[in-house]
Amino acid sequence: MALNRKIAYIDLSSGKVETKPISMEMRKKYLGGRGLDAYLLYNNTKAGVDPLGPDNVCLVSAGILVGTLASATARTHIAGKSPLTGYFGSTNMGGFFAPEMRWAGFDHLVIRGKAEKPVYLWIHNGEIEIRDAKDIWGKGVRDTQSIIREEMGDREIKVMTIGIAGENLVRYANVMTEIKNSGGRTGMGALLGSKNLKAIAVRGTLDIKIEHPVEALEYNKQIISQITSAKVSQEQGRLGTLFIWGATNSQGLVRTRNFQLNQMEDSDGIEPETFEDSAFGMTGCFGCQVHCRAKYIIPDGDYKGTYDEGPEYTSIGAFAAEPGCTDLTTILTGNHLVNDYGMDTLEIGSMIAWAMELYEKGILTDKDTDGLDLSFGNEKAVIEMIHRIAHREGLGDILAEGPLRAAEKIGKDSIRYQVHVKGMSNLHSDERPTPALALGIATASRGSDHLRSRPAIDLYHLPEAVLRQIYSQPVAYEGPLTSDYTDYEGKSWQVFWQEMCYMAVDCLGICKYHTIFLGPNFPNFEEWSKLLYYNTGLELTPLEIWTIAERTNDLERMFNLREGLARSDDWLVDAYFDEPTKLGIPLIRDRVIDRDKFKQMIDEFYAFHGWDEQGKLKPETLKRLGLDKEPSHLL
Amino acid sequence: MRKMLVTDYEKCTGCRLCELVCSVKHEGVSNPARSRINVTKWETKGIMVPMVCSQCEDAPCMAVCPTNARIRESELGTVTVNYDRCIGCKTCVVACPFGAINFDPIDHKVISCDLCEGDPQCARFCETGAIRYAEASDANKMRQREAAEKLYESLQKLDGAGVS
Amino acid sequence: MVVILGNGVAGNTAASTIRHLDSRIEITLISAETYPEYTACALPHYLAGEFERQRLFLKSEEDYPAEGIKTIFGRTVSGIDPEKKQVLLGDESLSYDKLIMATGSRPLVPPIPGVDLEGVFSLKSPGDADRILEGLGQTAVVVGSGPIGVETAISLKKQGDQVYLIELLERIMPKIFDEEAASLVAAILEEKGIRVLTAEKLVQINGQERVEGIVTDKQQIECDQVIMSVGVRSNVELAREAGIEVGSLGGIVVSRRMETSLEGIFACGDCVQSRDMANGQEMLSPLWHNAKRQGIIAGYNCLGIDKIYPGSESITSLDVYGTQAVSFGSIAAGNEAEDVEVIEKYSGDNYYRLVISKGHLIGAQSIGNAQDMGALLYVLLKRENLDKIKSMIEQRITPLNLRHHRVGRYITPSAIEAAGER
Ligand SMILES: Cc1cc2nc3c(=O)[nH]c(=O)nc-3n(C[C@H](O)[C@H](O)[C@H](O)COP(=O)(O)OP(=O)(O)OC[C@H]3O[C@@H](n4cnc5c(N)ncnc54)[C@H](O)[C@@H]3O)c2cc1C
Repeated sequence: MALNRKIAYIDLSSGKVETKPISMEMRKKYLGGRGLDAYLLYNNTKAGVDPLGPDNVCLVSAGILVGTLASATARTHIAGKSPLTGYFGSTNMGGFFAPEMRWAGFDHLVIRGKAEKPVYLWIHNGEIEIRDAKDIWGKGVRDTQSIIREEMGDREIKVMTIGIAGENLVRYANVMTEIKNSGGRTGMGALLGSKNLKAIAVRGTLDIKIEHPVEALEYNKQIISQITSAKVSQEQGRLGTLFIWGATNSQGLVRTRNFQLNQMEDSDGIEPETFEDSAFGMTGCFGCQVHCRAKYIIPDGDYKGTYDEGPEYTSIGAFAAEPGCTDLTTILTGNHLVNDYGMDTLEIGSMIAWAMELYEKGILTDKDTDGLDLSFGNEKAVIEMIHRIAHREGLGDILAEGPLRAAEKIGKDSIRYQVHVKGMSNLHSDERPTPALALGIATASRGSDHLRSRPAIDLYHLPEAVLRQIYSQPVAYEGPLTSDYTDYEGKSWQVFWQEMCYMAVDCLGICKYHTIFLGPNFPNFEEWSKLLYYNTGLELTPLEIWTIAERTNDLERMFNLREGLARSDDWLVDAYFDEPTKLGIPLIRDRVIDRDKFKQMIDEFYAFHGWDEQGKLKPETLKRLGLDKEPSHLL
Repeated sequence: MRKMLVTDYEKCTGCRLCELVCSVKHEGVSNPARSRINVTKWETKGIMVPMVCSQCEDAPCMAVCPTNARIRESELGTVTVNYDRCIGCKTCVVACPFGAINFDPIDHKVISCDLCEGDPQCARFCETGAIRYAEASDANKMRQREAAEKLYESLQKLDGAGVS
Repeated sequence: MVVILGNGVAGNTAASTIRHLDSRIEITLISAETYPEYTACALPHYLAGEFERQRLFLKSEEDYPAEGIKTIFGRTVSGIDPEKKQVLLGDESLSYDKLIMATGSRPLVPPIPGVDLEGVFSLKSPGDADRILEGLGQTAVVVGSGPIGVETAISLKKQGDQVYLIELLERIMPKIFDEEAASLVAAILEEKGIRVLTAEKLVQINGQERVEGIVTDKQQIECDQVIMSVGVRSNVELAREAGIEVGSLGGIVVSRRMETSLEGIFACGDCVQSRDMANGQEMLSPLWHNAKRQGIIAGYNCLGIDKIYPGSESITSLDVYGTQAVSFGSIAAGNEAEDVEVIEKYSGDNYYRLVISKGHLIGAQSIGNAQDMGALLYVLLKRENLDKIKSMIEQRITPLNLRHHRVGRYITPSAIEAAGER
């Protein structure tokens, strides 16, 4: 059955591999994926562990529904202490890796130590082998995968790998699989690199038994229709997340020129519709009918003719809006390069845009850039900086360190121009007019992040009744809710609710696009309870799933607290409070976040969690969630 | 008119839901290795091709089977396997130009599409139209050919762009 | 009335084809053997104890009358009188309008001292297998390493015997695989405990009444069973005596309509020589699928319905302890054709070898992966120019350039990439 997948402990220093079953008790408490990873990270590291040292662990996992019939069960979760932030490091990627890992017999990998020389893991039907990586070290993301497949003689092998950026310990290096599925946030690629672990290759032909196959098939069909009949899914299936960029830019909700502006005006050349000329169809992740990834060929320039997938919302932010570029080829090329180097688009775009502002302000000069003209709008410089950062050359070496370390190295008041939370750059959206979204990034467990708790549907001005229906299940909520996205009322509850929602699917291994993220009518706790039952036989009520989400979210918080996180870290950079938006529709123009109201939102958010004013778990919360004995070392 | 699975790889997104539902339908498990349909990918070119038994009229697999174990089932016209006769020599696998006959690694037997008793799940779940269960009319064949031409064209473009 | 000589796949297919086309015509099928139709291809599984005896049979005795086919089993045809249109069964005779010879083949038994001893067998019929099973002992020697020899060796090993496989040439299955592929198969056999002795010649079988051992040009081996599998010979004696032309390869010569040199007499199956579908050359290809297809063609033409035999395909597909060994077309070794070029490639545990001549694929071998071979077989049979395929691979537009052929679009990547390593 789907619950018999194992956990493997792999020590790269000693070469020892140990596999264990995962007890039903642990399943019921943490499910799998990100949830169980929170437990494993808390239990397998000590406070203050060096993120790039051998004692940090790299966790790789599949959600408990991965590979089963639940509309899009593709997600791989990777966790460890973050080399970027020093807090909870966690990233989640689509593709086909996690299902293959389950067919190979595993749900969780706990990788510790450091290999003497570069290695990769070969996981096949219950067996794990540590293999020499000399043929793939130094290779890009694509080549690595082809070489492994060729070497093993099996094209169906799925590989997650780091690119050159991960080898060079770029602190926001990705873990990648296939062409563009990216585990992009918090520098998990650097974590693999620090362990001399180039890749993990999996191939499996073991059954995942579906407990109630007839019902599972029929219910899956129903869920798929529920998702694909929605307009947002159809738009996404046509263009991918580009459509979000187009929609939000028209209002004035995207960040441009390193947060100097909130709308890109000369965007004709990069509107989603222009991109359609270079695209030729869509692709997607395992089992998903939304297919939100465009397939394209780079139309021009040095990489003309190269195939890649995307680009995403963030690619436009990173390679157009933020650095002030307007050329489609730059976006498509930049996207290709970060995919093959394996770097976080969001972080690198922010770092380059930040450097451009520093150059504009004279904080960085031609001497620092080795003569490269880092003016906003210089397309060539954007591409060049991608190369330099991946290879850690010159200024690239500094920018590869991420927001805080780079600012420290450059000094002066460069930190003032950073747009980050907890040392992680913000999405290239502008949250000044949207307090709910601002609260989400300020409090997310992995640093600034839009995928941990963002109530994106807040932007739809949904009627209060609809909001109430969504946000008062599976736990009752009778507080305020407003359909005005510029409001502060009730937003902390929405953020709290979404945090549980996203955690739940991260434990299950379902994509967020199949939850109430972009579509208000999408599956929810109720549906997940049924999906769990039909596919795995596990009987959990919606409320029980919610409680697991609470538990695991809080465990992530406990990890962060143990690493020294304080209330002051749940905060935004000053510009959010002091510099009003200049562009956009009237509702959005001239907006800042109100400090006091924001503080109050955070208080409410803490209270919903059962945290004290300092953001620490109250003893009764620990007890209620069964976390009072952690670390308990039960697995 | 006999119905058949019509595939159009230009529409295939490579999600492999067809493989999943196929293995669940037939074996009650998720395991593409036991699916009767497979999606082959050229990952660095973005080409995905669903491969499934065409229930060929003059089926090479039937012709080569040394125990007459591959038989035509009259109602739907599917080519199925009589497992009492099959000796597992896999000559049918070798002879199939589509690579559409699979070998189930758990049950150790050859498997191929049986059209799910007339309600093929792969087609039912494929919302992109890459796999359809349709009448084997000339129109469909035309459409298939058109799709191939179209893909060919776009790949020519790709080639013109100097891809190696 | 149609008379068919032979109850193998060729004869039975011909009979069923005729019955399918004409529900009334009288059909009589004669066989020296007493069994209803069986498949020799399943014999190794029966010998290994994996199949029940019942599973060897494709038909039961009742199936024949149900199909309206008269049978005369257990009677050897002693002659044919083409003038009188009669077949002779000892003193009796039977008239025909059309005659189909489907007399098949028999194992070749070389004239080696001791070959008549008790305990020396060959494998062709259920009875042969029964006798081998009855006499199972400690040690068996299989002489000849064609596919049948290899399968027999594996079966006996599975029965717990100590097994020796002796091959005269330097490699096993020498007509089917080149050196590298053959050695991969041999390595698997050795690993499973079968002693593979190549470049070794059997000179004598020792024993009083029963086999006690064998002598080769290199050593003596004690054993209690010897299985001769040094090849098959077409059963053409009847045909030859009747004045039907027999070819230089030892098979009955037939037209593309499977008609022999005598009008109204057709032949099909292991007893004929035919043309290679890929290169048009005369060949003996004693394989099931060729016999079957020939049976169909003979059936049609004997009713006067024109149907052409497209030629024979040599395909070998063998499960060697879970590893698939596949070969089709020609091998490189001993190939007299000019410019034979070879592409070899390992991809993980899978081995591929392509044999190319004058820009065309003429043969392919693979150890490990069977699924990729279908497309290559297609390329071979269609005489697709490899340079075209090569440029297609280089341009990486694999599925399309073969678009003229329905199947070309589906050619699997590894196969093509194997072809691309030129
Ligand atoms: C052990 C073994 C394994 C094999 N495995 C494979 C395989 O995996 N794949 C494959 O393709 N092929 C395989 N073959 C070969 C395949 O079995 C033959 O090609 C096929 O059986 C030929 O069929 P046939 O009808 O031409 O002749 P046969 O099966 O030889 O039938 C000949 C018939 O003629 C009758 N007959 C002959 N002379 C007379 C006479 N004078 N009077 C009356 N009756 C007569 C015989 O009694 C018999 O009924 C294998 C063969 C053997 C022995």
